[in-house]
Amino acid sequence: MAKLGEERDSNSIAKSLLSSLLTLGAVDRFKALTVLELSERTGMEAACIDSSICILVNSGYVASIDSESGVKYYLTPNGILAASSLYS
Amino acid sequence: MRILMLSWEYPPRIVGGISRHVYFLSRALASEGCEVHVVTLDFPGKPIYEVEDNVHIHRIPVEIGAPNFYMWVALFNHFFEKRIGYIAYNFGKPDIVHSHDWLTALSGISAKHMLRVPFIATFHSTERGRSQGLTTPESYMIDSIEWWASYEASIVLTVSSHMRDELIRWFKLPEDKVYVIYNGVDPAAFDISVDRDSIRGRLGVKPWEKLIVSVGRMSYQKGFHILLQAMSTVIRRHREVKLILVGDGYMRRELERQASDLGLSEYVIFTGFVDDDHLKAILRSADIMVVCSLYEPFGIVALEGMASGLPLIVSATGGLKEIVEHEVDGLWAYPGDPNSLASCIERLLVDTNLASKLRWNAIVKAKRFDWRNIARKVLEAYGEAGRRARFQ
Repeated sequence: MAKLGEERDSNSIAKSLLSSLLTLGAVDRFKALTVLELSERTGMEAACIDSSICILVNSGYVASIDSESGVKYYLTPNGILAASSLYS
Repeated sequence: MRILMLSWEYPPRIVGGISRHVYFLSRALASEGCEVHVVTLDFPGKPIYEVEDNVHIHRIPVEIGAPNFYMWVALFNHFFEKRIGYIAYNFGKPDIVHSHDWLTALSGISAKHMLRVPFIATFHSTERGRSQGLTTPESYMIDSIEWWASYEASIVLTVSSHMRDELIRWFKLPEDKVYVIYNGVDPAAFDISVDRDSIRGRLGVKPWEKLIVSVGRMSYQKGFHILLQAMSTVIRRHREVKLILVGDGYMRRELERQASDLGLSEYVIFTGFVDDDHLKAILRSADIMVVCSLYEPFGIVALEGMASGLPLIVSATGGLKEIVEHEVDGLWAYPGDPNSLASCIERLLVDTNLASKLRWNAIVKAKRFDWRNIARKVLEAYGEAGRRARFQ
């Protein structure tokens, strides 16, 4: 049961993250954000973001690029549609 | 006539039915000689401004990040207003401003007063319907914006009689203010030849298996979880059946897990988002379509299924009940009832004469929902909005 509960938590964080990437404007590689930047802008803990963002990358909703300040993340076109579908 | 059309989604940004509605309506209005400007949100790989089939498309980036969705909506409406000013200055003042749903209502109302032009609002759904009641502070805010748009609009358009009744009752609107204008479909676009075996083969469907298709955004409202429950009953008696779920959304992982828990993994295919050509090919390769929404103001996918010649099973709710006549061009299932849905599916799997009758009647009916006729009705509504416009 604890495992199921943990999975639900990480899904719910992943949903919040998906929404935040949309509303923060991280919708292309030039507007991509690092985990630290996401943490500062959303108030979510960096460790939570780190684990949940993998779910979104594996689902094809989020892509990453390497930059001088570390790995940055942004929504793919499918990610934009999935994030929008949270509110439609 | 110069028309300003406001929508948060426009192809390739396809979240729900609004995108297709605005796309086809804009083209049909342009072919009637109107100058149509669609103001919408940007999308990767698409230009900020382009003209497609005589429709001017303005895709607006949101230049400022927002901490939540509701602030983001307010911000993108600000950027829409900025573009509306640009359009009025460079192309001329519009004759009508037409917004779709609450998401673009605020910029539509601003444009009405700043430019002193009639404002029309189309309601594709309402917050009370989508959320099955008002239960959060955000829902109350959205409901208030919807009321505000219905008040400011000279004419309110909506997509089914069911929705018209809802709007009149909830927002206390005069009956003669609310017009029903159904969604449309281009039947020719779905009347295509496809290599059925090849498409089914790529999806992992054997030639002798019956393929059931359901299309939509993977949200609770669309009822895919009910369809999976129904499928667990169906496959007990009919092993040579596959279900393909086309679309994506926040519930996809939960649905995949549900399919696995029900032992349906080898019977259910999740495609994710597919482009229009791929969707049409899938529809032409399927045997049955199911639209199992719990709440559905219209259900444009049902029309697309009809135009594709698919026998249809729909939830007897909202606009679906108005599009589909039970036992004539489709079957009605009780909304949210997996047993009722399973029973309808089994009927069509077994009774090929019934499936054939529904298929042919559906093809004929789909031809009634022609976008050119819809555009003419919308133009009549624009004329009436002009006569009724008030700018207090």
